[in-house]
Amino acid sequence: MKRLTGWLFAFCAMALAIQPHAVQAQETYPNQAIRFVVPFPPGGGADTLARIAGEAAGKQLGQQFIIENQPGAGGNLAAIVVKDAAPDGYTLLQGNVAHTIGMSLYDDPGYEIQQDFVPIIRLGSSAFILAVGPNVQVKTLQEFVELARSKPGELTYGSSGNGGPSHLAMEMLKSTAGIDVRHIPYKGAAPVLTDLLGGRIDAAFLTLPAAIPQIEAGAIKGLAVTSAQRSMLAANFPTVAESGYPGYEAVTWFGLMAPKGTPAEIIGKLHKVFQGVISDPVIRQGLLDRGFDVVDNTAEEFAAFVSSETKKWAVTVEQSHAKAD
Amino acid sequence: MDIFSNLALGFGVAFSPENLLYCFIGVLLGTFIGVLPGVGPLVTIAVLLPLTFGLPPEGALIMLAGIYYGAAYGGSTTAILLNLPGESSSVVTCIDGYQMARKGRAGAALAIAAIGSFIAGCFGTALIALAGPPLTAIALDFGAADYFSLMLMAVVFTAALAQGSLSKSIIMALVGVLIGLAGTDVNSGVRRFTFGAYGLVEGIDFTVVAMGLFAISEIVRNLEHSGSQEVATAKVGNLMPSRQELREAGFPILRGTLVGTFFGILPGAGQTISSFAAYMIEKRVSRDPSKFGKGAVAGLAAPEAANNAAAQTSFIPTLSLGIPGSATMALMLGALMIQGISPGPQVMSQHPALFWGLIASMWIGNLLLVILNLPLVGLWVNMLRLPYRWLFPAILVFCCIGVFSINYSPLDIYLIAVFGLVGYVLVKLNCEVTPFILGFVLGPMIEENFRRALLLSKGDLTTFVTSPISAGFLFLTAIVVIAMIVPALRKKKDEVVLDGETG
Repeated sequence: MKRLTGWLFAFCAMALAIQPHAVQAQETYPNQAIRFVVPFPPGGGADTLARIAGEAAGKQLGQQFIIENQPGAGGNLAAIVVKDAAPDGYTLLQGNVAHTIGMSLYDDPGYEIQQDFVPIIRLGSSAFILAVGPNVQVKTLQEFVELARSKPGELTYGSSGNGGPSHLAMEMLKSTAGIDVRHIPYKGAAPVLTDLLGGRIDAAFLTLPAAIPQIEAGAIKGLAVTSAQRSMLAANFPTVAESGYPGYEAVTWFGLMAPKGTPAEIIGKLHKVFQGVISDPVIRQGLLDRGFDVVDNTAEEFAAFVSSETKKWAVTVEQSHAKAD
Repeated sequence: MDIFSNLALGFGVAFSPENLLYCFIGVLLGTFIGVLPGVGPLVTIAVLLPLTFGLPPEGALIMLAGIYYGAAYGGSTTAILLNLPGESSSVVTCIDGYQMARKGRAGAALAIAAIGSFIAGCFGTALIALAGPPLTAIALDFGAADYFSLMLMAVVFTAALAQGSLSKSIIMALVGVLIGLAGTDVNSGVRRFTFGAYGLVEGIDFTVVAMGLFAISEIVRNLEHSGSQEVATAKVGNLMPSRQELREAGFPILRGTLVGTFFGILPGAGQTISSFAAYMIEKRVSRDPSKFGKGAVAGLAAPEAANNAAAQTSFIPTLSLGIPGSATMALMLGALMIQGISPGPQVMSQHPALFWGLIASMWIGNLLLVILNLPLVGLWVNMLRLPYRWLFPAILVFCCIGVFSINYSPLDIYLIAVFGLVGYVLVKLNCEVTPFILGFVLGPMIEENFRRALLLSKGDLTTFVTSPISAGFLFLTAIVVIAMIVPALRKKKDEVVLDGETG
């Protein structure tokens, strides 16, 4: 019995310790721990990125970044939490590609990614690679497009979810190249890979860390990567853009955002610290190993990027009829 | 022989003092965490992952694997003692395990669970070592049509086994399907039954439903008898299983092991289904199916063996194909990547020490678990001697913490309260919860695979019979349906024949 109540107390104490204290803001920022709200469950790539960057930045700022996982509703839940938080620099959002897609995918996402948030810095991006299964006899993107053109509506591709980036990346290619490939949605990326390996679907946009070992083993073929420049992770694969579709870019990106109204000095301070973190060669290599390409960028560049992403995905969502409600 | 040199290499790696230590720490942590309801291997591995960064790859993976199957073991403990499924795979353990505990056989139930898991673990390990690489082909051969037919077969089998009112069972299963369908539709992205609540957009987690229906409703039921000690906490009984109980457990353990092995290999089917399937098969082959749900030894031993066998064999697709069968397995792959090893078809040939070391450590881990758990049986059973007024608030708190840790969604805590109430009402109405749970688990998977199969075939229904695997399952299903109908017609005649033989 004593043992049990002891456990209870321990848990209560832990629960209390996790609660951020509402200490009064003082003139020097930061003077308390910073909540970094991540719209994904712990353990995945996005969470790891936040933890690596947050830990390094925390050391420099002398305050801890507390990663708060707030998955759900395609990232909308996390965005709403941060939007409603005080704009004092102590609550930040890991904004990502889904937040810009969400602007056109949902009727009422509950926030406006451009109006309600101040972009601070883009932390990293992951390109997809267009891969084809064992039954598809093409070696380049051009050949794939020609094959698809020769039999419209016959080829199939898998995505890890309706309205997700691996779905819309293909929809964008379809409308750019003028081809018809049938969409087979899955729950998550693992079953897509299984059916691609088994030859039940013809193509899919896969993440590089998942695809490269399979390509090297000869189980599937990689045709082109979706980033604007070649990815450091797969430098021998051409981009979609250089394969005949200039301007094509479809990546999963992650950045740091603050609620609107956060003082400019705080934004500037955070940008400076995180820019230092992502240009550290050790951290950059660590992120690359986990599938993230990292480039230096200013807050203005990131803001312009968020704006162009929002516009780009709105067009693709419209064309693909991915919108649900 | 290749296999012996491989195993020799594996045991060489696993028996090194530091790897033995990592294995021990892993299973110990896993057992304790498995005992905490809802705090499953997924959360544990996610939290402990950074600890393994500094370890060599073999040590890291051996420890994480230890946590994984240790948690599968620990989950059965609370399921048996408190009707509290610690892991989704131990829900089935609740059904007969808890009834055994109520009859004063808690110690025996825990021991049988441990022994069954050990036998299953040994078999799973041997199978991976012998046939791991060829078995991976099975995982790739299963398509949407095959999954559909497999699950349809499971549903028909369950209907065939329904006890009591058939109409009640069917209604329960259908309600389960409806609740399982809540969330975002895979094909269209439409949100179904979410009523505008963000917490429902990703659907309702299995653990939430199971904890509410089993643990919470049991608490409510026990509190009916305020003051009295009618509940399981009163009797403890002899700790070790009797010879009779061991005999009853023998074949179910073997059958459960085979079932679990099969489902573990299929990515996406997983441990939960394997324990259900094992339970259904036991009920089917049992001479006295009416004992199920009232503390049948077979109803405990088979699913326990199945979920442990599945826990082991699910490493086959994960390691040899680089395809994670579950979220937990995805984390394991993440751990490999952090160690600089790309999971995929090359792991076995490029990192033989890692692959075979892990397999050997699984067998050692299972042995450690038995050594660890049999003496602990006495300790765990003592938990039942606690006054219930102390026990139930603790269970409630642990349930809430566990459920919250799955999705970090406060709505899930309200939901276990709702499902607790629903479970209580169902018990009062004499409705079985098992068909509901099965509908909840299988319904959405049947829908998803049916629609995917038709998307792939452009709406051509013959896809379900042109695939040989799918056709095989449909054939078996048809036989079961016929077997259900025919005896009903011939029942009288059979009884006459039987009388003639015995008399």
